Amino acid sequence: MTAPLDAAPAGPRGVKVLDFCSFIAGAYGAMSWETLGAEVIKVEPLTGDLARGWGPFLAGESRWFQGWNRNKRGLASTSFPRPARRSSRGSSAKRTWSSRIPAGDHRKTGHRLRSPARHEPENRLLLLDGVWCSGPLGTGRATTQSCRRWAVLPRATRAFPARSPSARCRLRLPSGHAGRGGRRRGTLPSRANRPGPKGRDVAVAGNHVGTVTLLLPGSGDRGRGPLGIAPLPPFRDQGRTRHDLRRHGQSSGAFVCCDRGTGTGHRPALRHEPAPVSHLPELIDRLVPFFLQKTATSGR
Amino acid sequence: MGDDILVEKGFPCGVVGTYGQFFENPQVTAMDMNPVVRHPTIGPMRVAGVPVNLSETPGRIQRAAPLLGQHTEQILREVGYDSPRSTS
Repeated sequence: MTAPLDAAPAGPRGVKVLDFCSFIAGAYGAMSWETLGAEVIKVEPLTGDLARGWGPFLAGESRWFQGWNRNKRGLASTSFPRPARRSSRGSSAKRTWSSRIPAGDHRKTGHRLRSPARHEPENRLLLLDGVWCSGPLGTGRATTQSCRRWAVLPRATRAFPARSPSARCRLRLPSGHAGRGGRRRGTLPSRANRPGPKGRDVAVAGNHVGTVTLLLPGSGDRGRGPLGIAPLPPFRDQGRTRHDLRRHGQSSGAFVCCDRGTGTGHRPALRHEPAPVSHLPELIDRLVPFFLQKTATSGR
Repeated sequence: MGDDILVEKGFPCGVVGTYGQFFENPQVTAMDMNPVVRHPTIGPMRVAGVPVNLSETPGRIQRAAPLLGQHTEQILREVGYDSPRSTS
């Protein structure tokens, strides 16, 4: 049974977020969910998030990482889609996600959605993953060629990464529910593909580093209009992002940015000897019903 | 600092301060933008608060950033793994 939109909980409380993002933009987007009421689990490879290796440091911990990942719980996994390396471009047939995607080729990255038809209004779960950033922050490529992909997930849609995290992550969206922005920064989805006021609860957007945006679905006005806008880091295209926010003001989606850095070989030491998870798909299969059940119970 | 004089005269202005000055600013404290969280290795540390406060669902800072894999076992146990290490 479909619940009326007016009954939707305000803000992201009840939303569960698995954060596979790295570095700044995606981490910040996920953190915004957490501070506004969602539950976020940061999933990292055993090598750690790229930001862990960025100074300045405080007691051996990156201040960058501390700034963008507060309020999250951490999970380390051995099975994690590794960032692409240029040297692996066009290599052997048995390629992983990392080797299939040349750095900077945003068209082959993004999300894969699975089982979007199930409609359970009180259950919401997001997995953020796969939007590619072509270079470390500060390089020209990072700010001009990083990707922008977005998906509008029907309420209770469960978004998954690729069937195997090591396989290529690709955006596959339910027809009529989502679109993709252009490759140039600042390009917005067409009006026809924009999330409408009905039946859309959450959207995931990839954006370029430094232009983190967050819009939350409203509840008292049938989901129109943002309840909150996260402040934007003082990057050069800040004004553009504010323009984006205004244009999206009538949408009902929540926009979260996520990106993945290219990796520079930082290897932070494991401090807690985490139990590595070799089979991330299996873990996700367990996490999803757990969250759905938990959310459904708490929502009633 | 001089800004008081300018504000008194009607000039909208503010001091560009350091991080330390930010956390000690009484206005920042009044807005609860300098909460203290406890990090496993750093100890008590000040972080920037939640910049957006919604009336129905105000956010709050509950914990510092996790150590690498800090909650792996906890999460795996929550989702039904008896022995998280067996998944490796």
